[in-house]
Amino acid sequence: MSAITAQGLTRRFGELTAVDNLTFEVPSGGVVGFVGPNGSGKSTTIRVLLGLIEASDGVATVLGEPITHPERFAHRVGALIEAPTFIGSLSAWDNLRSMAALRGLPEQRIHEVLDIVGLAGREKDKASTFSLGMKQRLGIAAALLPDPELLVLDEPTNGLDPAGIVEIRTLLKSLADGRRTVVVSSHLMSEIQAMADDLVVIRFGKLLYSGSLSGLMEDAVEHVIAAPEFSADLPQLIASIESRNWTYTAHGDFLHIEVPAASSADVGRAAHEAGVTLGQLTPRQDNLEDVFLRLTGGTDAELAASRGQQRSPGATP
Amino acid sequence: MTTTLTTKTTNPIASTPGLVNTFRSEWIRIWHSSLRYGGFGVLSFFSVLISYFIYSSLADPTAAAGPPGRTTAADLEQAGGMIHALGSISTLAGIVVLSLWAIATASDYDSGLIRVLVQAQPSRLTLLGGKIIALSFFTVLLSAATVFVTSAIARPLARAYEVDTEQWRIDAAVEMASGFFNFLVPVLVWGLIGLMIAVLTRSSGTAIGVGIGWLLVVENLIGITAPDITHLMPGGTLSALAAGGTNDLSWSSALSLTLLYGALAACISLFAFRNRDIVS
Repeated sequence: MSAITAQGLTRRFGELTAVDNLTFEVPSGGVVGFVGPNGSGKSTTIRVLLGLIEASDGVATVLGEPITHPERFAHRVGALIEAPTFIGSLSAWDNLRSMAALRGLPEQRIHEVLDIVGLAGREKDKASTFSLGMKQRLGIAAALLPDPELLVLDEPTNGLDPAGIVEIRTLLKSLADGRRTVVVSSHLMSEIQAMADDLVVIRFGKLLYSGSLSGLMEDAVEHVIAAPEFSADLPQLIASIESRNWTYTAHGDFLHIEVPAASSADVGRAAHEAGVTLGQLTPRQDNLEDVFLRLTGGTDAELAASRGQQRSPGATP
Repeated sequence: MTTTLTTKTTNPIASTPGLVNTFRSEWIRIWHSSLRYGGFGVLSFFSVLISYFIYSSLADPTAAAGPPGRTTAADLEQAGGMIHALGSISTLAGIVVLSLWAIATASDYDSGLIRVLVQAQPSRLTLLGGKIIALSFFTVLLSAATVFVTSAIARPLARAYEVDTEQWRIDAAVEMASGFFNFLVPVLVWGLIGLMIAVLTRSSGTAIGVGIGWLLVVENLIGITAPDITHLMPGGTLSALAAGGTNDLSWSSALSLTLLYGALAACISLFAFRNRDIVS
């Protein structure tokens, strides 16, 4: 059974279509990245799926239940929607106790989730004294209270420092056991690439890709980045590359040559034959962000300009 | 939108009714120090302050009557005089309770907690119903504390200002109960009005501003332009009930109208909360 399915899911705010005819499927188990730039409609889609706002059109299910009846799946889903939200003057324990009471859960479960997120021993501290990373972990603890089959985390690494990001990433990967599906929305593609098994990629509310990360990365292009030691040698280097019919783009003195990474020796040889000493020779493979930009044909600004209109579909009123 | 029909699953963890769970969850959040000490502290302070003003401003402790609207010693010497000040405290208490209910409701939107709450308990009527019950229980405790403080401070003040307390013993329990009822019901309706404005505006500051602005400004303006209907406005009606009825509005009419205002506020709140999107 799929964790989430959506067919033609649409949400309009007046004339603005924030989620535009989305059709995708999230498989059960593992980490699923819900990817798109800021304002692409990720949060709106999550809110629609969790029953916080109604869909304008389309059909969707969560854990096999229609999203029009969230009461049928709410007890099997944990969510951290946008920023973690707590009453700062309450202790971490009381904040979690309040959420556990709402779900009819015993207090023993609070100990368990605090252990999982590494906050055991800090439960008596007020939530307002927590660092951003600790607040994120507390938010994840609250989402884990019902021992959910589906964990939906909206931008869980927002505002964290690199160490905090690694910490959350490690935690999320450990949570995605065979039984549990962890859906992580983020505009940070490098983060998603580091933890996701599957991807749903959207932009301007439209679906760009749905499937495995490895499937998408099959389109990744291998480059060799080469730069002459002296700028004056650049024309000879370019001539040598062109003579071999290699595709390249120039970024100042740096040439991004589209050849398999294993061919960096060939580039070095070509430079040597042209009498050019290289200052840099680096094999590199496209990352998710590169693939995403290739998929969309440019940056947001470029695409918006080409569409002749500027819009921000993810912005909810 | 169209839906996919699937088999309904039961909730294995929801062994207790949703309304009870919601009440327990809400109570943990309400019963935290700032609301608890703030609510009890402010109302106790007003009880003492207004009681003191009432006793200290008695023109003639032995006079049978005084200027219209001014409390006399004779008023205070009657059975139930021990809690006579409650009628005067009621409006201020109403503003405090309106503010507390508005803060407790709108802060869920301000903080974004409402998203988590609705995800965990998708039945919005249950969610708001539990909040109303929890806030009502809190208000009952606040009102009981106010009645206690008012009656406790009355005896030393009466001694200090030479008010005869002989008749205070007559039907003291009944007088206390009716005084408590007349104080509690309007204050609860003030709370419901605060909740309604908070649900509609989703901002505690705006909700408090609108509530106080209505009571102190709008009703006074209406009083100038259409004095005949002032006593039927929420502020006038609730004050009339707290005072045990007035010349313009009998106790029973005030109670009926107060309950109508409360029911209206609750219905509007539940309808709006049930049907509007959950956005911050």
